[in-house]
Amino acid sequence: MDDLNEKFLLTQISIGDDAAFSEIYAAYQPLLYRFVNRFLKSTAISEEICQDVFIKLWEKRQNLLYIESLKSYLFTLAKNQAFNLLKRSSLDNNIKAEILYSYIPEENTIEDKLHADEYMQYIEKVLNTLPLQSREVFRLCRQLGKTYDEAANDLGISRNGIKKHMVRSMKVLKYNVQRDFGIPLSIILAIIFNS
Amino acid sequence: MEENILLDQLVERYIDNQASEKELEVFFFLLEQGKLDDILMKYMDKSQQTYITNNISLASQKPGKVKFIYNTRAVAAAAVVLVFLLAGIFLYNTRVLNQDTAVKYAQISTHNGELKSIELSDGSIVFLNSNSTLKYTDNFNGDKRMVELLEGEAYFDIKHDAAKPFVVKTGKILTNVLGTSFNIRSFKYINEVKITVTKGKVGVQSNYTEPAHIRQVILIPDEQADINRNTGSIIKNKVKSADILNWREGGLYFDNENFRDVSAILETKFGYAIKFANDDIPNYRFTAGFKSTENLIDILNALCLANNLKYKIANKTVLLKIAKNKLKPMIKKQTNPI
Repeated sequence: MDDLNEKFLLTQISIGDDAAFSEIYAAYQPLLYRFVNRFLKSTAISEEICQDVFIKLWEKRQNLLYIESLKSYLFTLAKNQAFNLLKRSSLDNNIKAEILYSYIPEENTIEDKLHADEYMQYIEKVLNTLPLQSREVFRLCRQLGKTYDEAANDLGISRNGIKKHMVRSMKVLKYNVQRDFGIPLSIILAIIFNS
Repeated sequence: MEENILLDQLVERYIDNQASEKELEVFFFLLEQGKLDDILMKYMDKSQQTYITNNISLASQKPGKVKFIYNTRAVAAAAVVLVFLLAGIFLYNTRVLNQDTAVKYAQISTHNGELKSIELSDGSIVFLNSNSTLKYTDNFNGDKRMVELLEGEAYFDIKHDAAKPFVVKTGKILTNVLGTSFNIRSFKYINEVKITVTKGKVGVQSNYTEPAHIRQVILIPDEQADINRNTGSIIKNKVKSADILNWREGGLYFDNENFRDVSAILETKFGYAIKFANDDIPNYRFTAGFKSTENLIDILNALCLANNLKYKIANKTVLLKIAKNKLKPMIKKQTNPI
């Protein structure tokens, strides 16, 4: 998207043009998704964060006329949201479980072997200082991911559906509120359907 | 090894999907302790920079693809979601699919000596002066009618619609109206943007550096706002708006304008370069109106007579210099050919 076009679309969004918003969404959502997914690992959570970013963009549309670079603006929003979520995940077991479940370590045995002993010793050292309770919670989080699988099996639906529901259930209410505060439904739908 | 280097390694391995079960456990523990905040932020900043500067893009992204969400867990939730989805699908079909999601806009430009008039979808008319560019949408979606004068000069005759104010954006300057006629001159090579009202009431706003830094004036007919492009400061003047609109008949009008601006206008209109032999000349001021029948020579004659200058033309270049004759006071008296 060239600069002039983007400036124009921003101007349009600032006066509430949802078609312009959709265009910006289509242009940037995939990039933002890739960026936050590097840190959040989970598809469901990453998509959620992207949606939050665009909802913020819409809420702050009056200020868009003064933005120098939309790209920087969006990425900064995404970065902060992703950071906050990751921080929250250390306390919220649901989120932690989802991240852990989505975390697929790359097979890299050779490098692991070459890995400095000092680093591994450090990891062990920290592990040994962890309170038992804390270690138990981590195992539970690990377990929780598998529980989702079982639930999905029982209900005969995809695991992805469960994942989305888990993250989304926290947000449905928020969406409704936001809708009541003047976000056109079409924008929310565009976001949901595109995700 | 310093602890920080080890922590750095941990975060990097987490990001690169290389952390083992144990490392993950330590990662989340240290994250909770707040020990990884700075390092994590550092990696995020770095990644953000890569995305912004390297222009990474996904070529094969098709916008508007519909994907269903299976939303379950409890029957109640499913029911709510079903209603939500049905409403969504209905709205999606009626509002999104039936309408092309891309914003259609048009951009219209004029070159040297060309004038155009455009009728917008709301019935408003825009007259575009030479070397000017206007951008507008084919329908005014949103709660305002907004167009953008990217460059040059235009006269707006706006259809009244109290529910949808009409806004002209000129860089950081916004001109707000409900239904009036006004002229905006905003050439890149002229530092002042001039907005002149012929009919009705016009609000002019300049937004510089911060949203908090907004200046605003209200203009009535025969009033003009002179806005400094660099600072956003607005000066209100009384003018004869009919003179300002001279350009619509191919004429020119200069209202106490400095030679720098006058020559810039002449350069684009006639395609001659104008140079000054003396550094003072660009700061001279000039007031005069010209009809479309008057050519560059007529204008140069008036210009020189009014300011005791001489000109020379060679290679499509006009050189203006101070005339060294002693009749200066007398000539000054009989000038101002308006």
